[in-house]
Amino acid sequence: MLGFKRFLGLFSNDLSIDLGTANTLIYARGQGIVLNEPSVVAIRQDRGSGAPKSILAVGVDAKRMLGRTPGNIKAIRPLKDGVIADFTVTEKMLQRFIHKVHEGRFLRPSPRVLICVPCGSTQVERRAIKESAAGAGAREVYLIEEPMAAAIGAGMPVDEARGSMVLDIGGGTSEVAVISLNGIVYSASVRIGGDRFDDAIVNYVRRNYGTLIGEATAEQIKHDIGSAYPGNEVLEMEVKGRNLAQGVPRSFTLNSNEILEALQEPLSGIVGAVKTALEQTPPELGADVAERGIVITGGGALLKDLDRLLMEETGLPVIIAEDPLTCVARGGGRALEMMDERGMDVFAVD
Amino acid sequence: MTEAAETEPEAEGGGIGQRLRRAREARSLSIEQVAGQLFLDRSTLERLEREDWEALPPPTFVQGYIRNYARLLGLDPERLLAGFHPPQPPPAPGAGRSPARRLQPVLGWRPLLILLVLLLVLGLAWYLLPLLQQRLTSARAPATGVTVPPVPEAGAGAASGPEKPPVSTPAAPAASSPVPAGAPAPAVVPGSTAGPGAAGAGSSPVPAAPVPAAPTAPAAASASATTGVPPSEPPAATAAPPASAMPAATTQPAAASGRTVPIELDLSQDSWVSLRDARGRRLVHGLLRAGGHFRYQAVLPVAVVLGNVHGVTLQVDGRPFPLTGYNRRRVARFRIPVEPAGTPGRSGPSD
Repeated sequence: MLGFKRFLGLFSNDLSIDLGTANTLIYARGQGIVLNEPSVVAIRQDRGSGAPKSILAVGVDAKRMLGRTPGNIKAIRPLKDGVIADFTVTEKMLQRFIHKVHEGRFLRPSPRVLICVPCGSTQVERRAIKESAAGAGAREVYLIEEPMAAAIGAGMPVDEARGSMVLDIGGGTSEVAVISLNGIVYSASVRIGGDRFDDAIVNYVRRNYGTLIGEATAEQIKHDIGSAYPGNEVLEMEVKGRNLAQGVPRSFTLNSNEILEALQEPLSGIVGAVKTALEQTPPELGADVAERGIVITGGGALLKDLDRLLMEETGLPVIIAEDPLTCVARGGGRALEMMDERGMDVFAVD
Repeated sequence: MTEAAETEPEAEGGGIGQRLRRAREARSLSIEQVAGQLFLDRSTLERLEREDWEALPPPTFVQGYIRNYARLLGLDPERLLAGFHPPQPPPAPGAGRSPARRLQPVLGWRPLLILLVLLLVLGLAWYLLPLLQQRLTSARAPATGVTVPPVPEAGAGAASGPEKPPVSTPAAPAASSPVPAGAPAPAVVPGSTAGPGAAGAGSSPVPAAPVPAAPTAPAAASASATTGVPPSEPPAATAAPPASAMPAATTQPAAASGRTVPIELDLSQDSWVSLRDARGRRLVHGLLRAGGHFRYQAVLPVAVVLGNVHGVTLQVDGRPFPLTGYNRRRVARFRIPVEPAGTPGRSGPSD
């Protein structure tokens, strides 16, 4: 069976998967990012208790259904806080994604897969990810810690004997790590990410406007007028939600300062994590970080003026990596290449 | 301030560093002020404006610095970065910047080709193996069956043909003439050893030595042996067919090996026929049509396969060869002469 999988492997690409809470990205070696879809699965279960469940949609299609499904369909996000919350659904989702990447192939794909895991994840959670990838048809599964992949993807000199600090703000978790000589010197993971930003906006709107908005709307607000640091200009946006008192949809206007206020709590959590990391970093490496600066990756880096906030809070230069959304997946792909070249599991963790 | 930056014509000429410096000076900002805003060292900023890339951190960082600097000055960072070509030497050596070497586009045809070749080889092996096996058994059979080598062309044939151990020469006469006692037996030896030369010339007309009945065979053998005439062995050879019928004569046929005899086939029905003689030659191997009459010269022993035994009449050395015992089956595999019981290669009518 193993031999057969190896044979099938000849027809499959090596893949690096950033299995994120919000988005799953797949990087195929030599082809770049081949898939970038929301980690959402829509499951259909027809009425009757014994009816079989079937996957209705995965990715973008499923995300459109979030919060808009009838009784027999459930759109769920199988990952929470960067780790698997629903094992079987995650497996199915991965399977779909891997197949999608190998579309049109005659043979069943059996790629080598490298998956990024949060550095704060437990052994059980890592094993769950490994097994679901194996169940999805992967020939071999390697795991790499997210900040390491992010740093490689951002083009940081991870193999130098110099400290590099990377902050990866994902959908479910934020990871901060200091890397030197291909290894993680310090790492911490806080379960704050893009989702928490959305929740904070939902809560803020409910508290201050007495109006309920959905997660998708909250995300839209975050993208359009969210910011992490007071800017020169104030942006406004019209939002529709259900008024709790009247029970009918109402529209109202939000501005960027309000959203800034709403985001204070999750942002301070991230800032706190960075400060703690700086405290815990050995002095030599801390000096390197102070000289070169902190690099932010992940979707959270797209929040306006986040770098400004961190600069002001830490007094260190902060830069946003190029194409921060795909850093982790690209870094994983490069790590696969490096592991091949050097013939060892430089970055892989169990 | 940003509006001023937008309207102000960007200092187009020069490199990134010069443009940044001019923009900074246009806003009358000192390098310390900028360093304070960006939390960068004064020296780093000066290197940036000098475009001293070697002294600066890897491009990832430098791009970030330029972007932040540009935003501070109200310049368009992307436009500025368009002119930023990171110097090649500084890029971190370890960042795995050698993808091209490994990027084999996941071989579409190569494994398929390998697979195809493999299949071809397997198919060939599957086809050839039975043939090889057949050859091997035919090589082994003469060795086990007691054979006398004096083939007409044995001088050359025995030496080259690996399947003829000439060691059995002394045994053969003894076996061939169990009835006549010691006297004729040694006499056969010169006859058979003289055989090659003599028989070589007159091998085809051998049918001239037709002593039909088995019981008389020993007598004939001794008689001919004393005269030293080539047909010293035909009696034994002709004794072979009856041997299958008469258990008493089972030891006889061995003596017949190694001689060249005519084999005639008459077909009343279509039949698949294969004749392979002692030298491994295929005399015939294929379908013969009904009504045909075929004649071959074969060196004994001959492996015979008849696909439709009921449609074939076989004559060996001018005498009919009994094809009885195949009532139930159509395919007959046997050897001429019929091997004694117990030989592994045996495939008589009882087969």
